Amino acid sequence: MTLAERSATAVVWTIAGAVTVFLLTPLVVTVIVSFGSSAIFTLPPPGWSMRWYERLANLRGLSSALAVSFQVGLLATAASLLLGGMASIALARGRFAGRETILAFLTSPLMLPGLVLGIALLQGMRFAGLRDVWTSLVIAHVIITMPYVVRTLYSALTLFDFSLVDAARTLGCSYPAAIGRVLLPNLAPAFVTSGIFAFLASMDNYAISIFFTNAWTKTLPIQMLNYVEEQPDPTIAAISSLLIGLVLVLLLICERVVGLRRLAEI
Amino acid sequence: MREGEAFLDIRGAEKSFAGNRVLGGVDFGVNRGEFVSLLGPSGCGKTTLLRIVAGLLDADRGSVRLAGSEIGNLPTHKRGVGVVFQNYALFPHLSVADNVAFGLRAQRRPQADIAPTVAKFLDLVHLTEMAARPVRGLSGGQQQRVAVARALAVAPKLLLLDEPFSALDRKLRETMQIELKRLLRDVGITTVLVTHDQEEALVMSDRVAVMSRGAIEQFDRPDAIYLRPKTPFALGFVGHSTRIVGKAGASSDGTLAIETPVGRFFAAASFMGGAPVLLAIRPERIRINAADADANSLDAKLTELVFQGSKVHLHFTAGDAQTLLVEAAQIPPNLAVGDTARLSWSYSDTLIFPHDGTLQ
Ligand SMILES: Nc1ncnc2c1ncn2[C@@H]1O[C@H](COP(=O)(O)OP(=O)(O)O)[C@@H](O)[C@H]1O
Ligand SMILES: [Mg+2]
Repeated sequence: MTLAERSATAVVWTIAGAVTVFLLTPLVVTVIVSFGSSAIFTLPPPGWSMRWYERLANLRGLSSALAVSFQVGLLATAASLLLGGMASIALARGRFAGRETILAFLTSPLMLPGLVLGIALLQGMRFAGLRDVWTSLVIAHVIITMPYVVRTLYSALTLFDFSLVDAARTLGCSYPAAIGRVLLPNLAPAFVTSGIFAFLASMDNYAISIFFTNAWTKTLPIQMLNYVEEQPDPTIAAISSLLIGLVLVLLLICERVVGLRRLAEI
Repeated sequence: MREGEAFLDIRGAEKSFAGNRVLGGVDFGVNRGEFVSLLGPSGCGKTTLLRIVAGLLDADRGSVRLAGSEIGNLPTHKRGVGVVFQNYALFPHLSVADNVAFGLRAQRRPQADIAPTVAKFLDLVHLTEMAARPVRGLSGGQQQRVAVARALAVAPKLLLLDEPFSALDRKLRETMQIELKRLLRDVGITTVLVTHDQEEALVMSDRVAVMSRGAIEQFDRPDAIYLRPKTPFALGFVGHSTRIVGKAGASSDGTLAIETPVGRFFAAASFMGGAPVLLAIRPERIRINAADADANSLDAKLTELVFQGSKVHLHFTAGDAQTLLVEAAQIPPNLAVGDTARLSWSYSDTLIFPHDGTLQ
């Protein structure tokens, strides 16, 4: 290596290190504070304790918000995978007018500001006469999660060799059976990662969910913000730490199924 | 089966893609147990016809009947038509044995039958040792054999092969052709092979259908296709030929005189006097300096000599610009480039076609 190359490498590593520290610091601080004994956010904490985690157990509204978020997240992800999967197959395989437009439309919620989308959805559902909060929430989350599913599955499907599906059909599979027996197992990594990203996007969403909640149906981010407003103590850090743990677990699953290197490419 | 109906019987198959007519009313019949090739240049619609038979594509018009019943409106999985795809389309997530077992499982054959059937077909294609391997690491020839075993294992009524040798190198191709032909004959399955390789079609088939621009030009035994091509296209696509453009002259007793810039020739044919015709001779039918009676002949100058191992190609020129190709088993003695020789060929080897003014 020449001197120029060596110094370039050093600069790159320095920048990478700085960025990593910058991104990780809030997470590390949150976790540390959640194990601290102080009721205010101080670093380093005067002592260690589990009191904030113990408080979680009987925190009003937490378990129901968690349940809502999990149920909505799972339902929306499942619906997105099914509908988005079928749409992606049509988009990747079909030759019809307006393909590009439909693809852009399905992925557009990623590009729109959440509030704009939220208001639009609220108006739309009012207009359609849909008053049920729970159903509206799930539909809104299907729309939020759809871009993650379609983007990942579409790019995986454009590389997929559909003659495998044809081969399965000539061997005795109906079209849906051929999709299930050949396309799904070969694209399992894309389905798993897009599903996890969709689920996390749903769990994390605040801007759109806020339009579809009431006193009884609140998602986790909304409930957490309520706590911060009412009583800003490290309880919220404890919840956040648990969520960080959940994300780590999901990423580990991804790693197992796909490998992080390929995950970064998606 | 209806009177006069073939085992696979296609009538009037038409197909257009976005207004672009790819098949223009194809009639095509294959007898039970027969090996037939669809031979034609790339883009002439061979794969399209194959996919229509397999149900992977719907024809715009026409009927497809197999073993006496209409299958044109059945879904692919109910047709009993096996396909070996051009890229083999092996399932990358399954082992060799699981690829072969795939169809048996999909059709819910009795569990007890699956393992013996898989073993039987792996043995048939000499891949027993490879059973547990993933298909990814296999060579091209092995992949082709897995694809054949997988298609045959479910006992289809008809097997379709789409350019199954195009991914293999030349040497391997020749051995695999003979081997596959023998295997399919032993199994006794009716087979349609699609190829653009004339040698492959001639070597493997009971009958060859020469296809051009979505139509079958000639459907005949390989020797008949070669020796008696019915159209200039069939003549040009299968084998080499020497061609001379001329005009039909007088005819008597079924013998036609053809006037050409390099002389008058005779052939067993009848044409309206004055019609433009194309005269063609297969290069190995032309003799050099032979004492032939009742034969066409002309004097020509040897311009080039190409040694090809088992045979020699001699290029001659006659008149102003008429070139003639002659194929001989060995280099003729006493003949060097620049020499003039007498070329002759019998009347019966003289092929005559109507001529539309263009040479293909
Ligand atoms: N799905 C399709 N859409 C549009 N055109 C097609 C399609 N499939 C084939 N074609 C066209 O039809 C013609 C014949 O194709 P094909 O049957 O694959 O030819 P071959 O197998 O003889 O090489 C080609 O010009 C090809 O471009
Ligand atoms: Mg083809």
